[in-house]
Amino acid sequence: MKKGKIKELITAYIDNEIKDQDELCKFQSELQKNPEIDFDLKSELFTKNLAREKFIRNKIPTSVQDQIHKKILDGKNKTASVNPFLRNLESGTFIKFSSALVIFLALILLLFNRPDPLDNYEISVQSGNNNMLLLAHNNFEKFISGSMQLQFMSNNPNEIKQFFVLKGVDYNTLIPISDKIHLAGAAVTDHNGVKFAHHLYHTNDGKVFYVFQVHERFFEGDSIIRLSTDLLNYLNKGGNYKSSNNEYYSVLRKINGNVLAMVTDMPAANFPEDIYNSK
Amino acid sequence: MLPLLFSKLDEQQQLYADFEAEAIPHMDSLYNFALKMTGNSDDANDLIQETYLKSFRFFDKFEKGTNCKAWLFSIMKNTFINTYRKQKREPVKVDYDDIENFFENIKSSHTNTSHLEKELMDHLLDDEVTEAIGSLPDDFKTVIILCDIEGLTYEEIAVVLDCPIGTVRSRLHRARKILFTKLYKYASDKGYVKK
Repeated sequence: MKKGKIKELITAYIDNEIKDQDELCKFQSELQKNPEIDFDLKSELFTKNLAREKFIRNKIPTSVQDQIHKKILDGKNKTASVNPFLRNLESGTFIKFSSALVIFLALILLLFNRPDPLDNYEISVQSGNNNMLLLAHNNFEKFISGSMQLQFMSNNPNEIKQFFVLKGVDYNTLIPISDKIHLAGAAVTDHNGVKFAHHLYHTNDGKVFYVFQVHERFFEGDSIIRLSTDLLNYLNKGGNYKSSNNEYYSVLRKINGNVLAMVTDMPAANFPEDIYNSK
Repeated sequence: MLPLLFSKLDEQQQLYADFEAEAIPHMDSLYNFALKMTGNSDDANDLIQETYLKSFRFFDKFEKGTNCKAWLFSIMKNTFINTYRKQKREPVKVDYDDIENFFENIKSSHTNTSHLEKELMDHLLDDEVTEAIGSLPDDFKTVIILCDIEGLTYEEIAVVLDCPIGTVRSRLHRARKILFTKLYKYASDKGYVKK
């Protein structure tokens, strides 16, 4: 077993996260054969225990807890407080008419107060091995680390498109252009026989901008690639799904029938939004 | 129409009852995470309030049967990145090669790990360990809190951080090594460890 792999397996072993029995057996025999890793294992286990036992857990101040309850209840009671009043309206014609009016007004209020349909927070958390967004993040990291490489280098969008066609990508691809980023090249991956298009840009200050694009038909039925239904609906309405972590920023957007997952280590403020206008 | 409205109101009451049962019990955990991420109680108070209001607003999107605590952490992490991280000046940086070298030195000078463990466990105070965790770079601090303190699985952490499980594992490995080295250096300076 390679040294780097063993070290990470130590971590997974401590956390009971080696799920593959073969891998677990191999690792356990490696532990017996190689006493040098004993220190690594024990120091890491000990650090985990130390953190768990000695980390001071603060209790949330009662005042903050009360404020949260109050704000939640305020929002809830805006509609709930009309309940007894409405129940009394169920008798009498005039009252029925009044109640209809109240309902009409309530519906108007609900329409105006409902969340923005293009608000990111409505989207469920993306998960699963074949989730396009997670695959895009994974590929971006692989490009950065060098474990995934460009198969074709060109700064010409037409050449990149031709490359995709030659490599068996069977949907029209979009190679957006922007003054902020410079085309570097492309790669094609194979998912159960289906070819998917990936291309990369770089910036003047050495940042990377990665695009993974898939035609919308691949998300239908028993798809080999997926996104949650609410996210697909959101993209179909023209929304940009933005997410970020400490290392990169990503945007999902549908353009001309393709879903594009764009991941970059550029600051979010410098994101080249003019690429959305590309045809 | 009235029965329809009543059923909507009943649904909302039920949603609130579910929210109270599922989300409210995790307030302390979320508050601790907020404190460690923002570094001060004022921002932590704002962050946790914002997180809970958002989570109540979108509680109907929460998939029942999945881990509500992980879902709340996920909302808090996104809120933190979108709101508070923009205000921070320079992120904490660590030279991992230095950490590796220092770790190898400790390794060669301590053959008896149980002795070292006892010295550190007996002498290090709770607030010294808490402070060391708080001083880690955000990425490393987050995985230590979510895994070692809050007990989330790698899969749950991967969802919270929106990254592959392999990244969680390697980040955790590095985080623990940095934390161990920090605590060792501290204990050594204080004379807790016999070299």
